[in-house]
Amino acid sequence: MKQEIPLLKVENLLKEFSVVKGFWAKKARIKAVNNISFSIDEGEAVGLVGESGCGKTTTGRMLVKLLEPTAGKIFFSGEDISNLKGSKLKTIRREIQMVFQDPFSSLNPRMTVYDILKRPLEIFKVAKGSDEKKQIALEILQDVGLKPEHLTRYPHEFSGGQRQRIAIARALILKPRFIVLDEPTSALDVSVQAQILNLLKNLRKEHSLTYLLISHDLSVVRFLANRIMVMYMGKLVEVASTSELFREPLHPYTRLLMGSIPNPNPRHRKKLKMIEGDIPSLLNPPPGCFFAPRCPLKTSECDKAFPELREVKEGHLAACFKI
Amino acid sequence: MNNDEKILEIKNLKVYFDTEEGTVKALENVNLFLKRSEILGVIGETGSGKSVTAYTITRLLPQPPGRILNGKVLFNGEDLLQKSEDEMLNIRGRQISMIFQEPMTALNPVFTVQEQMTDVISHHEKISKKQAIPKAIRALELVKIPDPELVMKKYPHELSGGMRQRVMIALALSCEPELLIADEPTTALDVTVQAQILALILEMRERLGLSVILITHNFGIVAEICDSVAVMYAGNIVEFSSIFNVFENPLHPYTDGLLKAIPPLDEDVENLNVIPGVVPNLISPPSGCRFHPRCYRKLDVCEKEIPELIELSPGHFVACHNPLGGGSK
Repeated sequence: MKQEIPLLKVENLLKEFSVVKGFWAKKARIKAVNNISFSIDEGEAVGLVGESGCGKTTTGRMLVKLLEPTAGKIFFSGEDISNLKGSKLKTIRREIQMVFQDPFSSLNPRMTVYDILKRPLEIFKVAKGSDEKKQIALEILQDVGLKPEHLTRYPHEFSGGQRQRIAIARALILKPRFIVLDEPTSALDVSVQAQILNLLKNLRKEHSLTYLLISHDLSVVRFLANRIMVMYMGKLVEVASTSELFREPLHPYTRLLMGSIPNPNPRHRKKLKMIEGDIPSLLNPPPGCFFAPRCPLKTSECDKAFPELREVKEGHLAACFKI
Repeated sequence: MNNDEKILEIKNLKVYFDTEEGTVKALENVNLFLKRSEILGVIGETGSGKSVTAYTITRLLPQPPGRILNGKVLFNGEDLLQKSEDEMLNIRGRQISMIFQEPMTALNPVFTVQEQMTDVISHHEKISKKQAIPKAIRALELVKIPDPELVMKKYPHELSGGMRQRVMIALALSCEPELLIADEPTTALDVTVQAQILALILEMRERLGLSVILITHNFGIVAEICDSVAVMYAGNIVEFSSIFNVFENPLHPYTDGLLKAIPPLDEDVENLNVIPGVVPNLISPPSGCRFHPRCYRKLDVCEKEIPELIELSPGHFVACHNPLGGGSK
């Protein structure tokens, strides 16, 4: 085990949202992220996978301080950033950046690429004159595979893949250490997705970046991440290295997920199963393990308490009584 | 029933759209066929023309701005493009049904499932809505909806995404059509729910002998449930064959490049194959083969002549001047 301080450490992170329930507008609270703890070492690329509504984006937004956690702590480089405000928060924002899913809504349509890229430089007073700003912008543009003449254009003049390159350039321009990638390719076509995935992989090497990759697509995560965390209804249910998780998924939910992904190989057809039941509502979660209602391994024990995430094998954690 | 019988055949279909920016040459020359009880995948990236093809088959293409310039859509030997709107009303739903990507927008939010289902069934079967109720319940049972009597009373917003798509499929299958056109039926759904819907489509084929056209951008889905696949690029079918031919022995450089661009699920790779460039603008598409500016096997002829879709080996169609695996034609 590594001894140094992890780059990012999260302890008992909780995020509750208020929702209005039913015709009589009864207020209810749902736990979108339910007491999760994990850490990410410098240089790692960690995938956070799960289905829609499992809390993966909420987790990512709390890490980049776009959302306040209801409870729990976030440490960055050993420093507690959970309740930072003002100028201290601003210093941290420089180190932690985010790339969003939809490059059509994450870029301001009224700003040229240069305007978009120089904003962070101005806010953090990184460059001195306009020559230096332009120089930095041109370098980062080259890093993400765009051309100098693109600098004066507007977002609508670019394709989806190129826009995502601009968004990546904006995230990288302050030389952050940690980047949250929220579904960075799910709005893109396959041939363009491949370009962006290669780019993200190479940038990580060249700039020694640490990634948290949020995705519902296990093949994307496999390509980019060296460790994977599986999330279900606000809880982490399994954490393992990418190779270990693909070799031996332990949690029944992870197995269901892997068994559901269509594999582009007609010789290895899955026996697609009509498993009964949808994901339960967060408004009314099951009493014990949240996965119990859909679980093939379920016993009476599973209805009593939620299993803690525990180390089942070295470096392989799972939250299940039956493993 | 003859299994080799073509239930649907599209010949030389050409569809343009008139827009303020110019004429979008959406479909240039689409040729394909579907055998009875087969599942055909139509795969392509955004703007390749796969949905336009589906909307043309069902005659749901808005005209204008759409214009069908040429071609035939033969359904059981009869050209659907020559049918009157009244005739189409009886074909749609009864013989050809369609399901869409977002079941929330395809279902009417102000009517219950029961009202929508009995409306369709009573229209096609010429029975009263009351008589249609047991048929509707049977259709919901068919798609494995638990407690169908309960679901009948619900409004679409009260159902989950997966349940809505099942209701859509039940609605589409309630009058026992021969052909189901599914336009990205699982794109809005989570993978575990997607697997249920795909399993359901497979089962409906087994039980009802349904023929299916499945439109998707996901090679995994095609590999999982389709018998044959047509690959579309910029308004043309570039390759068309059985899934084993297309996945294991692709002849078109686009198909080949696309297959290698998918991050694999069962092995580690350092880098993904990249097809350079972007999908062309169909107002002014490239001359000759529309793929030539992105193609690594480009010849001089590719810029000048549009390649025809030809049967290069038995049952394997490709539109390319310089296909893989056999040198130049």
